[in-house]
Amino acid sequence: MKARWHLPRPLIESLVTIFIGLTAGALLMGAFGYSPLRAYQALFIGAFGTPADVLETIAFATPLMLTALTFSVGIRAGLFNIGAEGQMYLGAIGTTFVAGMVSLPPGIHIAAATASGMLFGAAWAMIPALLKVWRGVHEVISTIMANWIAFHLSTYLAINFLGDPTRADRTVPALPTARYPVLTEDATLTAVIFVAIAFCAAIYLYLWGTRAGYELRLGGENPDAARYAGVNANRVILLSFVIGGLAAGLAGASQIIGRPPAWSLYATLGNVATLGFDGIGVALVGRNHPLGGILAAFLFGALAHGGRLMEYQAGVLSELVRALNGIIVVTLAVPEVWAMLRRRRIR
Amino acid sequence: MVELISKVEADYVPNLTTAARDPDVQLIVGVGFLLSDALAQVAQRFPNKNFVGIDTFAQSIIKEKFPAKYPLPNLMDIVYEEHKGSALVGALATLLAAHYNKPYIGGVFGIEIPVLWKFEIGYKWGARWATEWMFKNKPDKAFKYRTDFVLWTYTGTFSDIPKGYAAAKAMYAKDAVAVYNIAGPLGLGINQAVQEIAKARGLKMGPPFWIGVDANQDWINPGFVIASMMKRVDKGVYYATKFVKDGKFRDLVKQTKGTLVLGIGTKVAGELTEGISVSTLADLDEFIKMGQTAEKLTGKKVLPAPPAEIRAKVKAMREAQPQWIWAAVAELEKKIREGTVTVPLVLTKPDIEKWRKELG
Amino acid sequence: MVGREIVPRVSRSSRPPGDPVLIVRNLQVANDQGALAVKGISFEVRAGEIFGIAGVEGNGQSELVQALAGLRPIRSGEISLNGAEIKHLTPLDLYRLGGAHIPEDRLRFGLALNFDLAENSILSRQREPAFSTRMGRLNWNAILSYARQLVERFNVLAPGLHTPVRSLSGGNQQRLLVGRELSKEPVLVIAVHPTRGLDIASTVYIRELLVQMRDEGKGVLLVSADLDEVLEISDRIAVMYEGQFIGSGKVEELSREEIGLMMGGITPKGRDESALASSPTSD
Repeated sequence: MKARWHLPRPLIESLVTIFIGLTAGALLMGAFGYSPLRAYQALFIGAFGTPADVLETIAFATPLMLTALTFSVGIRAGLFNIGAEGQMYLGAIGTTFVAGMVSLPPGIHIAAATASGMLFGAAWAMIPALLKVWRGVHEVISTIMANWIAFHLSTYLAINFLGDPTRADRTVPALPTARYPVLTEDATLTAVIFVAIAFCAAIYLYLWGTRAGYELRLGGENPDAARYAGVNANRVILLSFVIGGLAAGLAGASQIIGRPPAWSLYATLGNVATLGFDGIGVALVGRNHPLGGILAAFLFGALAHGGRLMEYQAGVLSELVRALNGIIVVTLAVPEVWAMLRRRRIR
Repeated sequence: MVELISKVEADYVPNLTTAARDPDVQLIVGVGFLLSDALAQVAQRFPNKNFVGIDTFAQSIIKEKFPAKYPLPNLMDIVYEEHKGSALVGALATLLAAHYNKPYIGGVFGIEIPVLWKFEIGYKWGARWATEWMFKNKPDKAFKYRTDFVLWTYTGTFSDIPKGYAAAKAMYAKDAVAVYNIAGPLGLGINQAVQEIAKARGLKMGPPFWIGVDANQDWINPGFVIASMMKRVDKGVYYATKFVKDGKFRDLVKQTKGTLVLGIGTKVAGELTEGISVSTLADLDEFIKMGQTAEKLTGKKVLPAPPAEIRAKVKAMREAQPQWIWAAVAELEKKIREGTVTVPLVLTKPDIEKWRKELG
Repeated sequence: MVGREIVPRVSRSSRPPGDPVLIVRNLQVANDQGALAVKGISFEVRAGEIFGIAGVEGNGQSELVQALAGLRPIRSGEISLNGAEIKHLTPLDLYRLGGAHIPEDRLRFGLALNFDLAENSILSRQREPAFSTRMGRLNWNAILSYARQLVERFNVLAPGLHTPVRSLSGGNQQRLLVGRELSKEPVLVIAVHPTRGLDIASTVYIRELLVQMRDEGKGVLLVSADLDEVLEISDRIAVMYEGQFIGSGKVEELSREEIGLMMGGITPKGRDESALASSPTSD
């Protein structure tokens, strides 16, 4: 395949908006009487100060690049798939089951637990996909509802079928054979990062390097032109939901068998909750591009991990840290949302 | 003191690590059972720092995974006997039901996670104890415990206040005399349901009542919160800090195998170190003072009425209930303290199934 | 029309048409509201001729073409393309049987604006073995060299093959689209408003291309609201009014005025529909 770089211009746009977002955040902190310089210094040191911090930042980025991919592939196909959250819950359940309750040889066990999570995620994504294909139900409504159902279903399954008999708070832990190796004792990053990046890269190659990917993108870019080109719209819907579900399922799996110390699913789903929704912001910042999503996820990981030192050293209240995250996300999201609205208006 | 709030579970380890890396920090407290794994991991990496977990079981994780290190000398779990406190308020609610001839008592729970089971069964067990007490002491008002006597709902949320309102409203519609809040902020929803009834009937005090949890919530709606099941997290942190300052922390870890139980009649090194109780008027004063401080600091209204008025209303409410009710609750507390009765501590699936079969 | 005096005329050879490549019998097509927009139309397009359909827009031309292109279901009637009877036509059937389609709204149907030039060059051709392997991998080398060829052959002015089509001028967008369709080596070209909104150079160029297709022995179905365009390059003309052909004939038999009247729904004396709708008697 020839190099087909679409990145540079969006990358520059994203960098400019990051700068604007940080400036707005500085003004906000200044208004509340904090020193923005000290805060950003702490943010940077917190995120990248030591090798361990860099790895921790990447650990926070891992699930985000995947749930961002779910949203991105949906947008590429012209769908507003905000179901990553629920698909990820089911992915976590699927992985927990194979990782914690099935005995398999090393190597195979990791692969099986990962695949199980991805398949559970994809299976859950089929609900809104089929509702759309069969009944024309708008995916925003069905994915929001599926998220809630997934939350309660997963909580129920986690407590009643996967519960650790000795631990009231979580499911059975993944057996040691099903755990991705921890890269260093000083951070919670595991080898699952390589799987996550490989998956994003594979989807990038799929979308831009295969006929099916071309048709999926065409379906999202211009549904009439897709019809003209003989593209089956239902196939595009199903395909994008399957890919999105696999990605979200992998995100769920990554937090069960790829993130110490729990190696299990909390009964509150607390160690996966919100990662799916966060992925939407990451996707917008990454310009709905699988590789842009990886970069954006690193940025979000840095905010998440570096933010704690900002809170700790510069004394910035945690609410303000969150507000700062929000400002940067919104600023970054503006060009993408603007572009999406413009596209819609032209059509 | 420096505070770090975890936004997500993935923050636990990095947050504890950030605090532990600070050379000025001697004691790191993790609040909430979900931090157990993180505490067990980080405490091992920073052997010179002291770690305390509230509601945690980090030492049992060490015992299971690294038996040679158990108990980790720099790690203390502080746990509370919420089941005992729940039994006391279960008995209180039941005695009120008997006194007012009401058919039900209620409990509004959060997400059904196993840690809530001990509250649920404790509450129901206390209710049954009270019905038995009635037969012995007040046979004219006594009734047999029924498995449908305690109305209970898991709302599936710890934050969605309207769900607490909806659940409580249904219970009060069935004429429940009191509803126990085991869902944190959802208590405000329960309060709203009570408030509606109070307004419609022009009541100055209950019934209907509700029962607070964790902190003293009696001040939220004076006259309608019959009492609160208090779990003193503040005391746990206070004890831990004191142990570190006095240089006794590591000795105590060794003595207690790293788990400090705070409850009813619990002792450490011969000293009474309690952490669970049913709220009293004295507790109320303490919380009103905290509310006043908060008002001074934030400049916002926290208390619903002047302190004296709150106190008077709560006092009047308590005095309006017959003395034998309070005496019976005190009797149960004494028996629990003496060990003549044992409140079941339910943590596992088979246990909850068994007790639900028995108590409803 | 401003272009009437200015646009240079396109020259064409005179040669007899061949066998029909498209036969349409009693075709009925509904519009989006479910009302009948094409009310039983019959016609043929022969190899080596341009069959022009004139008419005021909104008289069923769009529905007719969309039905022929597989983009709209037909209610009744028969379509035979290149000798094959087709009941449920899909776009892919059309292309497979040798049809090319220059759609009326290039921005809506013919191009994907945010796709780049190379990607647009295979839009509707993406399944051809030349561009994707049996396993479904796109052959980017072939696609890029094909796109380069299109750009050169059809004089598409663009900064590069990876330029989004959005940033090309309308004329260059249409050159790309027309070039793509004509390079399919079709037996039938369906062209709808092929020069609408274009600069003069592009207009002339595209008309020349259509005539060249005719001269090469392909059938061309031209639908245009531009009467001059229809008159200039068509061999036969039909006028569509309210879902039917109100009149038709060889271009030299019809005057501009007559056609103008028919476009307004007035049937000139001595011409009735049945006589006009029958195929010409050139053989």
